[in-house]
Amino acid sequence: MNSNISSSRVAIILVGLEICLGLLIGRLFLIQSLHREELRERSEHHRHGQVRLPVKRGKILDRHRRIFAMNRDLVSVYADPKAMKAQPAEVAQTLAPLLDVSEAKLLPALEQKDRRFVWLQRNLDYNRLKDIREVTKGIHGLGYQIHGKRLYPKDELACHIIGYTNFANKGMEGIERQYDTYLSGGGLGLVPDSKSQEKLVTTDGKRRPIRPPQLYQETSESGGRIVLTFDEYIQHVTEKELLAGCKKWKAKAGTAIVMHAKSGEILAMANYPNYNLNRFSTSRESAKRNLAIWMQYEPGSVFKIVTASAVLNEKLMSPTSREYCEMGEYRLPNGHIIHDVKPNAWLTLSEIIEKSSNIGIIKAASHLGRERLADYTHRFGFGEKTGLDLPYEKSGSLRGLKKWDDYSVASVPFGQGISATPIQVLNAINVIATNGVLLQPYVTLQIINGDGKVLKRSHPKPIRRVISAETANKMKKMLVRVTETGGGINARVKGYQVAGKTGTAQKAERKKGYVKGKVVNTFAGFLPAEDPLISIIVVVDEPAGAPLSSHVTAPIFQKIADQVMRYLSQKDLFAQRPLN
Amino acid sequence: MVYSSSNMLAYELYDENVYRYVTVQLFACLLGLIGMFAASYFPYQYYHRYAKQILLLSLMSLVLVFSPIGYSVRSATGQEFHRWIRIAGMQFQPVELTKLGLVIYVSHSLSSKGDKIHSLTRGVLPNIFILAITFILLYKQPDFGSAVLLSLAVIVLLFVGGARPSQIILVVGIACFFIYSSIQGDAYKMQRIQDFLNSLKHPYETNYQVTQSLNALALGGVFGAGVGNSIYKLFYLPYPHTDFIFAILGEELGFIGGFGVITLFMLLIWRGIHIARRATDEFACLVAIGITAFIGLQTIVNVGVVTGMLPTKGITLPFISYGGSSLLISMVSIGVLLNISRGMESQEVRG
Repeated sequence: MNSNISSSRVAIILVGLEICLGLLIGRLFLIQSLHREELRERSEHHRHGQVRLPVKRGKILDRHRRIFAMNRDLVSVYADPKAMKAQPAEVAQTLAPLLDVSEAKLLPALEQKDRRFVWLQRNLDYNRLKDIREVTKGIHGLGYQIHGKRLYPKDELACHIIGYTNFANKGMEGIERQYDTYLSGGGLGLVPDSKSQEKLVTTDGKRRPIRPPQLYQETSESGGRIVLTFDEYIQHVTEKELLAGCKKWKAKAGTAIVMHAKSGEILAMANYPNYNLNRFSTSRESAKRNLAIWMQYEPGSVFKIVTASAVLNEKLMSPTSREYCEMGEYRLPNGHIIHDVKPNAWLTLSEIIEKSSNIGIIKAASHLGRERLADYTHRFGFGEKTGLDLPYEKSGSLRGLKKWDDYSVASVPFGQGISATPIQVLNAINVIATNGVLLQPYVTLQIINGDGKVLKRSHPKPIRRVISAETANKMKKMLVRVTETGGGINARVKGYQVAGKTGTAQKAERKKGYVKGKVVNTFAGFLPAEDPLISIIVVVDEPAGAPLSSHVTAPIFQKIADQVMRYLSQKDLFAQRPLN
Repeated sequence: MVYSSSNMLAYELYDENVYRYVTVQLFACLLGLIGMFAASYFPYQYYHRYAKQILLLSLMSLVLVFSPIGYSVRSATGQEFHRWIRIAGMQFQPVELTKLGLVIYVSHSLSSKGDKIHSLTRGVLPNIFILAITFILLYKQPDFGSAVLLSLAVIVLLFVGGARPSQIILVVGIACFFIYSSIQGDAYKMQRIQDFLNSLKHPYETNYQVTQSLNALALGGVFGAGVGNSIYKLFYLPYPHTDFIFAILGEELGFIGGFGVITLFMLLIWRGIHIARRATDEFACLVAIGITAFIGLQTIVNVGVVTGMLPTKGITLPFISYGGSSLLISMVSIGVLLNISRGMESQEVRG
């Protein structure tokens, strides 16, 4: 050994290094054995996270729990052509029968060697999963994905109520949109013990579950089920009759709503045109509009109910008080001339409604004054949303009332200068049916969570008393006369007294004012008059030839009412409610 | 081990190619085997003769990281690390070469000076000068951990080479000054030191990386979670395949695995020093000690960091961490050791 190198110093280095490593072993032993539990406990919450499991979207059901929206688990198969080592031709041959695609179609996809992701076939039935799994396991560069796809077994039926989900399974319209959170399993924490959607799983450093693919299959939990108030049969009848009526009159659009008069439950809500929920992406946007709550139009003479109720409720007139109707032509102080359909001399208030005299109702309203008319209009629910649980509801406009010029005050009493939605008009006439109380209409009966527990139950929700029961009763009698001897004679239903009112409003267009030849026909009413069960509104937009409502909507009303009443006489829909 | 710790990282970084790191590592291993084999037959005396050239080459390669063939990586904090050079599509980390180069040069310088080693100006200062240049180059990269390691290795060589205690204290003082001046003004490094000082008071409370590392070790326990079953490699630990591979090893193979690995390193050091002691000349002895000390120190620093005993530094675990340059140079170093040992065997036979 060379003199410069000190042997003892070499030994010091050796011993020093070995001791350091020995100390590290000791430290390792401390960490991994003696203090292990302490450290593990501390880090437990790091590795585990509450992870929202993929949820099977809840079903949407009618009041008899018939399925209107459900899920189908589908399997999609993809390839990573770049990573694939096997011969594309062989792979195509194996896959073709399994995926229902011809080899000729698969081959070009698999031969795109520069691509990292190609869908080979999407939305295959779930029961092929086992075979697909077998095959994809054996071939490197193949994979599959399971996802829930929405299926609407009734196609068009009740399409505007149900709505649809987009490609990402997010609700876009109707109930699918309104209750998206519930359907997708969120918001179910309303009930403290219902944390079924959250699961403690081991996550990686980016807080993702470590084994996500298996989770979907492991979840039996599903999102909330929504039970709706509508009845498949009533909905079917309503849609059928509305469609027939609109086609007959070559109308642009139409809407019809059937409501349980006592509770405000919507039994049917139909619009023309409609669309197939399973093919929403190829449907016209105009067909997707829920006109029943979205269309804002001048209600016309139906609105006379509000004016007449106000006059009666304020005890300014009685049903037998008379007004002179100027033989069908009346010049207002501002020079406008108001016409009636037929010339009349003296009419009682009851006759004004029955014959739908514009002049008569203007004169009756003149006792009220603007303030009180405006007050009653608001109290009947106009100018604000009914609060029905569907998205995109419009509130209508009461601009005519606010502006306070002589012409609009003169026209508001018979339903011009203000706009309303069909559901508002129906809800307003239903005030007469409920003996004076405005209700909030609703379409959802119950929301049930994945375990079958009822989370939310709807109850009739009175908003306010609008008129006294006495006034309502007087109004009811007047409205019965409309269908007995007046303009609503076509709405008479065999075996029942019907209370109702027609309305034909000329359509106003921007800058042009009222257009001749374009009208909106309305018939709204309820039956049986003595103890109202259902309220119905039928609105037809732009029937050809600008006919009167008595010819267009009254017959549609009659057909719907007749079939629904016969159905209801056999089936007590509303008795089953308390059971649930 | 590299595969197990890096496959998910590679999956996310390199288009789902889980074998990315392993392929690179296997290639480096192959090169390393060839290098080791070659070095074991390549007479070490040549290193003695060309020590200056070797040093120059390795220092030049350190300069090259700032040249057009240099390859830099930007960290998440926006800091740029000029640590690599790239030739013909292959990346190389010159600091690894510098480690070996510096050991050879310092050994050469100490062994050829004979008694002059005791002189401050002629024995110690030139080595300090070289060390300072290296330090500045590394500071520019920056690669603080390697700089510390290099100075430790040089100090060991000076110590063994017979420098006076006063001289060694001087070198330590100068090294400390360099280290201090490079830490100062760098909030990041200060934080690491601060974290470390805190962890001295509270043994298991330290910064994020080390906390995760300790958690991983604790999860592994005595017997480990089994190969491939680590959870902490899944984006908990920032460098599961390089600096913190030992934590993953401890998690998957448990204390038994960690114990085994450290024991192997202890054996290696023992054998390395054994070769040094039996070496035929002073240069060979010093080179053997330098190489052994390097591997030993690197292991101590790496495992020390992983177990929370030392402040966090970017130091890999020799032979085990992912990193082609490190593996290649480590294996070549072993080759050199083997060659030294071969020389002495033949002498023994002759003698």
